[in-house]
Amino acid sequence: MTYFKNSLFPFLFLLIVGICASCQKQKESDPNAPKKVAVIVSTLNNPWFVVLAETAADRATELGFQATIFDSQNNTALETDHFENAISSGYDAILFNPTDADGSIANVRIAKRADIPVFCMDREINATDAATSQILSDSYAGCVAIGKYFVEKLNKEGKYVEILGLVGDNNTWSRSKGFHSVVDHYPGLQMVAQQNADFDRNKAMEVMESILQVHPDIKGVFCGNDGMAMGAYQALVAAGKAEQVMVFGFDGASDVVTSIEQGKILATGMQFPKLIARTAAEYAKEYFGGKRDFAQKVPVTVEMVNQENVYEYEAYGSK
Amino acid sequence: MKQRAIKYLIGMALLALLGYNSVYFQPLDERLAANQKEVFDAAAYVESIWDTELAESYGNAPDFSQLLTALATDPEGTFEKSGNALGIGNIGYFRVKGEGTVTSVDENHVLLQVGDKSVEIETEFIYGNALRDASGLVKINDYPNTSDFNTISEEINARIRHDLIPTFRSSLAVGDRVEFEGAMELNKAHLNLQRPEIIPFTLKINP
Repeated sequence: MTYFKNSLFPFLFLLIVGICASCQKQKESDPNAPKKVAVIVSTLNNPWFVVLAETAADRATELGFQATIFDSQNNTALETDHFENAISSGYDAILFNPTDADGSIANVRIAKRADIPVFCMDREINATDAATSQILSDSYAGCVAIGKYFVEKLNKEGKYVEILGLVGDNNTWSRSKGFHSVVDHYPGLQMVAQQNADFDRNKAMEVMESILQVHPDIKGVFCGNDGMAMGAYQALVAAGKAEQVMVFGFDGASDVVTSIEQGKILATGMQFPKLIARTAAEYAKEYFGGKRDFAQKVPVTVEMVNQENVYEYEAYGSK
Repeated sequence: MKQRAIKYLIGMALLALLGYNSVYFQPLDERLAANQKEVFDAAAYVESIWDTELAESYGNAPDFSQLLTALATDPEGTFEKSGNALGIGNIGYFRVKGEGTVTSVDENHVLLQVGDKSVEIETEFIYGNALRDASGLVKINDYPNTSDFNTISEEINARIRHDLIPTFRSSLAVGDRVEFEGAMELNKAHLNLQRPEIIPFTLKINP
């Protein structure tokens, strides 16, 4: 046992010192090597986040950086692995789409302790002293506009349903609060069900099918993202109620913009994932150039797309 | 024996003194209240700026007709000079003031003729951030919690809906002259100046 202690600890000590020295050497050895940028995204199972991640990586590459995309699969533990990998592999900045407003804070702090800047994209973390900057869609204001349109279209009365996204994501509640900050002032509008479907199209379809069995007389559905709006619409088509129920989404995804043109979906909140992603990559460049005084929160405006103005928009942005 | 008793007494006194200073009692509700973070009082904040900074900001708003002319001739420059925006994107908010004649009143709007422009004064859907953001007084990064920041708009809008609009609409007639101060939301990528919509901050009827 004594032999074990005596031999193992010096060995481990030398190993750790060696690894640290090697990392340091790697960083210092080639100052002209391109900066490495990790794009860590909550999920690549949703086209909106694919656009966000790919645009961030493309813009980083255009700016002369080496970019790699990591998919957290909506799992904060996997997200932690990505952060640890990014730090140990010598990445210089992280463009980050968090999985959970609270659960992701620790991961951002790990990077901060390693002096690696983190730029949050689209989703917020519930801390203002961890990320270098947070570039966020103004979901609340976007859903206020949708709420107004919803009230007008339903003529201030009728039963409706709300389908929420991930309960741990601030965007879920910003959208819901923005919507309700208008709709709740109209007593003729009665919310008969409010359920979450985790921003997932198939889950939203299942949720909508169940709700329709209990509440066949609804007039409207507000969904926290476009994927869920498409899922809800599919359930309405299957139930023969697509003409009776107005569907409202949020994101500005390709299939919903097309569905608005075709009169299937009433409206969506157009976010600008490409603008958010490009801004994050450009902030990383400014950081490498020495800038440090970034605004903690940078809201990106959301625009309502409906059947009257859809010709001015395309998937994920303006024409 | 006597000495031992004195020692015990001194020891017990010391223990009692130590115990007394180690433990204290506090009502649970007091303790919970002390642990709670300071709650932002949006109503009090709005009350504190209503007659001062907000009134001054809208009182000094650019003339509506002049602003529209500027937007038509130099949209980019006018957005830069007169518009306020929280972050990045196409939406800008503008303070305006002016005077017009009531041409119609419907369920949700009052239509004014201002010069050669028809202007909608919103009287129903007074929601969103136009009044807060056009003023340029409130900055998002002063509020760690975005929800607190949004409640400022809700308070401003509630005051307009409850205190201004009912009185205004009840005494309004077609043909009245109306002075207004308010906010306008415009999209610079899809600029439409055909029938501007104004969220009012003040409305004054001059029959």
